[in-house]
Amino acid sequence: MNPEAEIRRKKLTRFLCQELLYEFANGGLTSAREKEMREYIEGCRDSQREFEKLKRGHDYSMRASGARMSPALGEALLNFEPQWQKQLRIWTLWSSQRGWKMLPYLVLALTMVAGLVVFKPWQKVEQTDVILAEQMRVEPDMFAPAPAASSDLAVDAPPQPAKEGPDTSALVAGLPKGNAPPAPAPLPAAARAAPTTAAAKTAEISEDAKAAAPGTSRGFIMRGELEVSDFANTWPMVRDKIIALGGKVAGNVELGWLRRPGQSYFHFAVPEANYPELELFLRTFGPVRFGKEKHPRVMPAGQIRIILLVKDSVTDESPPDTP
Amino acid sequence: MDRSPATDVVVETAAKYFYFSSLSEQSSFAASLKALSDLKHNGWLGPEHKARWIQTLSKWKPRLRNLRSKAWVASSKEAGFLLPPDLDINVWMTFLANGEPSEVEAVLLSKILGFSDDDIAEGLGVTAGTVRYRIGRGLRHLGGYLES
Repeated sequence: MNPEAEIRRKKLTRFLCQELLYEFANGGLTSAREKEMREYIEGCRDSQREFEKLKRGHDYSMRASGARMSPALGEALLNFEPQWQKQLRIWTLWSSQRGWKMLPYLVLALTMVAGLVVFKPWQKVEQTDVILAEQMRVEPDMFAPAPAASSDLAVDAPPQPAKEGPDTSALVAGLPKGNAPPAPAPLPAAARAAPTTAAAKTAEISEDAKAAAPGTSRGFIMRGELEVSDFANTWPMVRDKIIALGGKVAGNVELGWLRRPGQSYFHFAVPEANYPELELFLRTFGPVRFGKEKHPRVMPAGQIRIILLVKDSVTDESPPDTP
Repeated sequence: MDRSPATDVVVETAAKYFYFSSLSEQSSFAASLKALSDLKHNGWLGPEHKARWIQTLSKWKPRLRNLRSKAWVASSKEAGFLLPPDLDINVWMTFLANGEPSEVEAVLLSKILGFSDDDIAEGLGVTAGTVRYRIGRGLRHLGGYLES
């Protein structure tokens, strides 16, 4: 249905009358509607006032349309020439009058040579970015890292069976002392040559690492186990606490993945500052054992990566499975 | 720019549009140069491209305040607009400051610059009905400022 036809059929109200005033003034309505409008306006003071306003506005805009651009402005707009173009034209004219027709080309050639000498584009070195941490599709954390002796930046080291270290004291204390977290490996010479921000950060971290733990390299991961008596209620609480502490899932499975009855698997990254609070919370459910393992994955500064297995102390018997 | 009656029309339209959109001769001069350069570059100077004129003018309107032309200083003494003596420009200034921008635009394009409703509709990407609605409301508001 045509909306205009629908409007035409509608009963005339004050609102509708005022909305149709412009069409009425322009003669854009049907004769029946126009007659209806005229009758309505005669009986409605508001509509009369609005109609008067519209007529005044129309008269004013008609007067304004009589504004004229001065000839000087027209000339200025039509014959406008940018300043640089004007200068170039004057200069070209000046040089050609003196018979120095080659002068502009000479200046252009000299400018290009000067640009080449200053910027030396042939000396540009390809820059390489160093990625500090990245998410891998395959879960590397279920394997122990490659031997720490290698100093290259290859992050996907050959996997080895998982080990659990009993080094909890340094972790609870916030990671300093002799067993401080290993920092990323020093950059190779090619990467150091590139003055990128990432490279600068990595270099800074490696210097810290030399000061704190001279023999270490690469990242680390925390692996822990918690045996609880009320498994069904505990693992959701652990999951919520991890999220509340800013933990973010780091592996391929969701936080608290029930990999078998009575076992819940948490693989996540959490701000290092929140680690003591997390451990304190876990201790309220039972004895918790955390070990630190070397790992090829270097986490960004202030973040640690944790794998936590919550087990039901009653049903737990079988060896762990990996996702 | 090659002078022809068609070119004169587009130059005057652009200059008036920007002048009534800003009431600043210097800004309108700079914006007109930019818009005319755009129109020339695209080959839209002819009267058959009126919808394109509107598109181009609307494109430059939001940047009006930041535009200044160095060339304006040289020609400012004699260049400008010749307004009808019975036109109170303060009313337009009030309308510009307090009116709904889409209504001001519609009144300016339709009543002051004389574009057809269809050209405006095409240029602004709205329906002709919307254009008429905006003009009607704009004129009523403008009349209201005259009353006060």
